[in-house]
Amino acid sequence: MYKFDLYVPTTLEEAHARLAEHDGARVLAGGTALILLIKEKLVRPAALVSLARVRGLAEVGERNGHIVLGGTASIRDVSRSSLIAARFPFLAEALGMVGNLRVRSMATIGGSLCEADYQSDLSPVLLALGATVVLAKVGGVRRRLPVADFLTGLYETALEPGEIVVEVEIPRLPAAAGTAYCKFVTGPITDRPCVGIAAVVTKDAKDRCADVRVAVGGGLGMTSRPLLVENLDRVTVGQSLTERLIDAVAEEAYRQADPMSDLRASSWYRKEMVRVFTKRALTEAEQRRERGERA
Amino acid sequence: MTAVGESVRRIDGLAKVTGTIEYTINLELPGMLHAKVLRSTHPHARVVSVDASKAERLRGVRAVLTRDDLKRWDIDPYYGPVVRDQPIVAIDRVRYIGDTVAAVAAVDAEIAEEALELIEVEYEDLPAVFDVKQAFNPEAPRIHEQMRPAEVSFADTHALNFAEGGPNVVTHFMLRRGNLEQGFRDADEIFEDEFVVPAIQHLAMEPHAALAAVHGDGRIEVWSSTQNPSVVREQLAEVFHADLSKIRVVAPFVGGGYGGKTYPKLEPLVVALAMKANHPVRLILTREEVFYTITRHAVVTRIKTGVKRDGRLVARKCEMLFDTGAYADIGPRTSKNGGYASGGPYRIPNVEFDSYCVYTNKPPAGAFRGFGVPQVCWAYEQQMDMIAERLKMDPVEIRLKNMYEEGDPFFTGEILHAIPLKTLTRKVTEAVDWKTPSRPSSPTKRRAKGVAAMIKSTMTPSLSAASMKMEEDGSVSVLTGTVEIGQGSDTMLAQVTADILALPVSRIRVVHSDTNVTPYDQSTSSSRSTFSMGNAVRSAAVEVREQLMQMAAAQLEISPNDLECREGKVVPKGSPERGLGYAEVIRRHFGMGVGSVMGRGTFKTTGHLDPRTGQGKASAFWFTSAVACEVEVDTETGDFEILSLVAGVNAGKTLNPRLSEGQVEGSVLFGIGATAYEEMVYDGGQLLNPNLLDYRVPTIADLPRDLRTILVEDPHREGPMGAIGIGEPAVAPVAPAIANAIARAVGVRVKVLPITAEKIFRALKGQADQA
Repeated sequence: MYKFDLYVPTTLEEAHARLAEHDGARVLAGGTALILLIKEKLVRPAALVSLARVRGLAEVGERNGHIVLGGTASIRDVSRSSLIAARFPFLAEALGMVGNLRVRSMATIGGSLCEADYQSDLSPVLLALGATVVLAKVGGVRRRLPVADFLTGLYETALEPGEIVVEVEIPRLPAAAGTAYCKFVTGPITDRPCVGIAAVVTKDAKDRCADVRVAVGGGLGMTSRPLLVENLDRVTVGQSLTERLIDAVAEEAYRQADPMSDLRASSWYRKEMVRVFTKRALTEAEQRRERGERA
Repeated sequence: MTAVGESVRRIDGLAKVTGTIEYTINLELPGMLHAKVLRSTHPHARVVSVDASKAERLRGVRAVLTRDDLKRWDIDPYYGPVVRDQPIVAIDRVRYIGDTVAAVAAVDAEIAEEALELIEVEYEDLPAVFDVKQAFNPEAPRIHEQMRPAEVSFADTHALNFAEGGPNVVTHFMLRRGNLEQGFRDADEIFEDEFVVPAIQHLAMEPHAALAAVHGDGRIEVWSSTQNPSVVREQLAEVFHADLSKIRVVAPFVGGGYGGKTYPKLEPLVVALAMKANHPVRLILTREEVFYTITRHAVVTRIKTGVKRDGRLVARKCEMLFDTGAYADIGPRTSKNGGYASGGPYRIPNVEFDSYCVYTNKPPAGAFRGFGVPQVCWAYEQQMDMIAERLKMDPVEIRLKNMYEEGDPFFTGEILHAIPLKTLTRKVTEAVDWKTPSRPSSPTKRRAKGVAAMIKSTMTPSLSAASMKMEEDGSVSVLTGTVEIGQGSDTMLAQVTADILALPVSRIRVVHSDTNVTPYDQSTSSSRSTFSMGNAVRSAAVEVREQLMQMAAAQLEISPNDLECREGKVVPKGSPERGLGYAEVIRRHFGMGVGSVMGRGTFKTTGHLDPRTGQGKASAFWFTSAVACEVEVDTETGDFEILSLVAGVNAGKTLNPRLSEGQVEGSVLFGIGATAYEEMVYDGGQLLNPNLLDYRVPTIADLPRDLRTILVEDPHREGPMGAIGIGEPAVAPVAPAIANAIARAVGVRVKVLPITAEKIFRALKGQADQA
């Protein structure tokens, strides 16, 4: 019969020590993904190291000019944080759309990143924000990886054995930026995204585009990672954000997107929807920017 | 004082919301073992060998049930309500991925599961067939070598033609009326279309569960999440060669049924395991296993209709293939019901309907809320709009022109009664402002309204009996075989009793189905309990009342005709101050402070159809409903939103408005799931989405914000207080009403459920490319 040891350390050092002791030990955060995998017999770790009681890992705050999301901060905590609502409203909104209340209450920022599900609402937003994942190893050794480098493929990350995601750092956005996350589901309201588009629009003093970012989530890519649409600077910087420019950005996203087929949509349809929802996300981000919804 | 017609709070509500109710999954017996099932990984294969010796040696394992046991014992190892085609565990063959191969009973579920991995099975693959059209082909590989009709079956299923039409045809239902060829010759326009509905899941919150104990004296006891304990008992008696009186089947509260818990499911297996292990055994299915246990029939409907230019329907030919999976379950009856329902709620003088129940190498299909009608309604109500469009008629107008009215003969020849189809259609369409188009929320969106209606039968003939016991304190126990599956039957039966006996509902207790105790009832399905058991309980209550009046008449020295029951007392008409409380009447009657008064009631319905013409009587009463809705389609994505939906159902008489509305709203939710999301997706015989992440169902938040129920009261002359059932009728029209609205909005006609944004988008793109 399958049995495992469960450890509930209270410090990061102890958690690392436990991970080091057991070959094949897995970190347990909210458990919304890992427990399912265990039940389906897809993984059979000999030990689980729970982070639930590790102190100081669930912080949502501001430090050194960055916004910091603790590794065990729950999706719900972040989605309801007034700081996040003020700084990155689209992050709060995207996380408010994840699954259902039970999942949002249990699932964590670090766990979601480590699961690296291709249908994540979190990843495209963090990608658009240029966030950095902070990883800690035994002995307190830390390394920092941009989200884009942390997510390496379908359910695959750059996480090394013994490493724990301690936090995510998000650089501040300029005061004049507008943001939006458009989630399109082909199922009920609780469904995972068919496509999810995160957009950030920053303008200069002359109302010209200074920085336009679009990240695409859903069933994306041969590499199955969210896509940060490339080369948008060349297309947008210094330009007015006209309908034509928005079309051009959407066309660029469409061209770069390489979605896969699953039960939620065919790759053909997803690619078409990338174009539609890139337009919608950009339009919404710009409208919000104009309304000054983001301080 | 009357409890009928009031929104009495459901009497099991408090216990349910406080989590103190016992479902089968919570029941335990001393020494109970836990069961797990080994399932086939092959869609169709000969079972060469099953070796359980390693599994039997695993510590904690008490019994492993294999085909060897079935062969060794003096039992008949096959079960099934119409044809006995399903073995307790595989004997010669497995017939679908998920089929039962062997089962383990162990001291805990984990050990039982571990033991499954130690059972060695050798398979030899056989050609498999998954597509119902291919399975219907005369050249298709045969899935069952022989047909074993059940000895004790239902009167109505004898109206079917068995094993005609191909190697995998279980039954063929035929209906012939008028002159079809002449009808098509007279038609000005002929429409011919094919519509498809995939298999879907019931998804009751409580998975199937059963607990069995086999006693030394041969008695068999089973607690099961079943909707029809009486049928389970009959089947166990046939399998295990036991008297009905020696088999006890108890149905505690059931956590949702929707048809998925009708007829034997786990019971023969747990009894066999308990027999082998000499201990009580409980089996609770996982959600994934429920997907492999029972589904709604996937159906292909070919429908050809002839119409006159003025919109009158004159001829229709329908051919339906009901994909019943590897075992027939109740598929023969489901396909029969879908068969005669395929004409819809319309007068059509010349018709030929043929529906076939066909085996494929997929999980079995059986009863599902709507029972064959949603599948054919999807076809005939869409074609109705296609006809209206070509004839340039309003969809409401063409329906009203053809709809059945009181006194019309149905396709079966029987005279229809209490079928307010036109009223329902008018009311729901008025409720959505049918004639007034509303403005889309953006220039890239389109709005339109859609309508659909249906008529459906109930299980006929059928039998329900009730007994009733008034205790010496004047409180009442109602004993029925009706199962409380969440539909509110406890409350409804208490209301009926309270009404007759002039008591508050709080003084009535409804005893749950226990074949040791409660009289025979055929089934808690087919929305029949209000009508059939309602009548039986009403008779039983009347019998109690009569006795009380006789007793009181003697005590008061007054004629019983001058007495009446009011507020828990027998009172002389006109002088209520002389009334005697029921407890007092009983005390005086027996001359001591104890005693009880018993009442009995039986309600039987009759019917019969001719197997070659489908003529006769199909139903004790008819359900009618109509749905109208407004949708908004996003032309950039194909996505659609149901802005409003109004469901109208004939209740006959509304016994409890709040419960009735709940039933209709629940039906609409079922309808929306089937319309927009639900589909069991297969790759060959492999189900790809047996979980609630990939098999998607609507949540409460996916209901239209504007959802309304209209309960029409066209009383049925035989219904208790005029009432008929209300649990199913609103399901069927939901999908075609939405499809019709979408077609009117953007000109896209989706004929294969579910209606996805991608299907609409693809069609819109095609239109744009052609333009």
